[in-house]
Amino acid sequence: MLKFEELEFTYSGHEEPVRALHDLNLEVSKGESLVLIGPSGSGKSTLLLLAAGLLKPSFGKICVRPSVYDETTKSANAWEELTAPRLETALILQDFGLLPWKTVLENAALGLEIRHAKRSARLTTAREALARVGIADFANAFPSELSGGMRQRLALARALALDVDIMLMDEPLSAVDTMLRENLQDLLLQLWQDRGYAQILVTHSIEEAVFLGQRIAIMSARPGTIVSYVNNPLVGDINYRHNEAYFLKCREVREALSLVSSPASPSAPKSAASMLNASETVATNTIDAADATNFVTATNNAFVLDLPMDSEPKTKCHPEVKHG
Amino acid sequence: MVKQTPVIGIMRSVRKRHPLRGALLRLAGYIISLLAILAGWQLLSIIVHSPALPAPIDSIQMLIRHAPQIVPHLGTSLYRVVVSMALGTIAAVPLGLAIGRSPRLDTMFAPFLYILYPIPKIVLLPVLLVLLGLADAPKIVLITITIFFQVLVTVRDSAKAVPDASILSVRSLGASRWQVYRHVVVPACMPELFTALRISSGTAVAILFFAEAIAGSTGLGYFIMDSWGMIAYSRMFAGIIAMALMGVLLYEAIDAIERHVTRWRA
Repeated sequence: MLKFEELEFTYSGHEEPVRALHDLNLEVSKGESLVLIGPSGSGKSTLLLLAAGLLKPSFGKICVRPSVYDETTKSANAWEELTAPRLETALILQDFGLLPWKTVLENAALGLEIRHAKRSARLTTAREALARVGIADFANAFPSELSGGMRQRLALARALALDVDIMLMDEPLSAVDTMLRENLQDLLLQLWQDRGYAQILVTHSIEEAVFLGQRIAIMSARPGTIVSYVNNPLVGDINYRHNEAYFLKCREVREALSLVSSPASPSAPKSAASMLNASETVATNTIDAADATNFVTATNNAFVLDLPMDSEPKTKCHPEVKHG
Repeated sequence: MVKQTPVIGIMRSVRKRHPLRGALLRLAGYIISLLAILAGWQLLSIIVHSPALPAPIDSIQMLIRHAPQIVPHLGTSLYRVVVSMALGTIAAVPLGLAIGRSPRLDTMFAPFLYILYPIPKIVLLPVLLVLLGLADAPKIVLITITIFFQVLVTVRDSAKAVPDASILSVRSLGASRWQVYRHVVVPACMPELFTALRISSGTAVAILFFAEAIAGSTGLGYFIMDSWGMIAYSRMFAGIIAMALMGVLLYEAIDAIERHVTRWRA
């Protein structure tokens, strides 16, 4: 579905370049749920921005293969290099990226509006998505009138209104308190099971990783790379949290993490960290709270409008690339 | 099994006020302010005791008596300000948005802006009078230039400050550059644009007064200076009241448009 090959990423433009990712190889299968977990500054958020096509790798490739079997050629689909955001990928950022000037319904319909869907069709789909996440009654409110958990639901609804095959989520539940968190984790699990998209979820919470990730990728400190995987085949059971295997799995992840967490967290540059809203960086149940620093560093570099907006002709990836 | 997840979370104070309530409150505010100003004015005119500061009642009588003259002057002045503000805004907003979102353009244009912005545009009045005559054109051009720079600087700065998270999330939905502007950058700049318009409307009226007082024989500025020349102070104050009225009309119009455009800020 999605793969990263010998991926390197360095943030440039500031006094000294920051090497965020180093020699990262990863393949996510169709419909798989993968969780990224690791210490602060391991480049987890960067990896999601890369997967969304919003950043370009400094070296290496990101390839997508929407379906394994192509109906027309009766053969396996080829991997295609990702050069721009694709319409079938949804990204949910830490602060959800909701637009305060649009109502809940308009926010949910935004992706469809961007795809030039007819007004009636997009409003119907958006209403269905709002109903699916349980906030249909607030269609005409503005995001500022919603609680944190409801905004999270709205961000999910906006992605659900689209027919996506890859869902990328950056600490989606970090702004939500513990009780609500489990509730929303249940929702995330059900949605993933219903829709069958592949998902990559970044989290700081071990419990969340074990509840939602079929595979849990442990990332090292900066420059980040995946050092190990924890396989978690029992994911999918809504009662998994009450299972003894769940606790054992949490322990396994905690042990794997303790190997990569540096004793004193490599504290992020203050200037960058202070730019983030404090409430967004406070994460309960976490290793460290300032991981989004990478994201801020990126956004300071004004890459936002310098990336290609229109999709370029897609180049084929070499299928025989050896993993390093 | 698909289970419908219950909604947890409280809707924050959703205000549902009657639309007339706001209008009535504003009207009451105007009446109280007007009474206070008139009282202060009356008091001041008694203390100063000079023909140059007539009592409000005399000025209001003059305003009523000269209404057939004043109303056309008011119309002319209002026309000049509104057209200028519209032209200045229409020219400045797209440019400000473009410069604000492109570091390259910003580097190119910033020196122009910093050299030209602090110059009081009123110094151009003599040149404009020579080139464009004494009618509407020089006044409109002068005010347009002033508004243009104020709006340009404001819109550029607010376009720069648009949260990257909003832009990224919309781009991840596949938005083109144009759609990013339409859905994110333009609405994000609206509140600041209206603040800029409100501030610059004061400047616009001041410049208009000056331009009308110096050249031409139309507009409230001319009427006020003409009355002064005739030593008709009550008539002069009638003109000043009309100018205040024009300011109120401008502010209320800007507020009304803003309320409509930025409903989400309730």
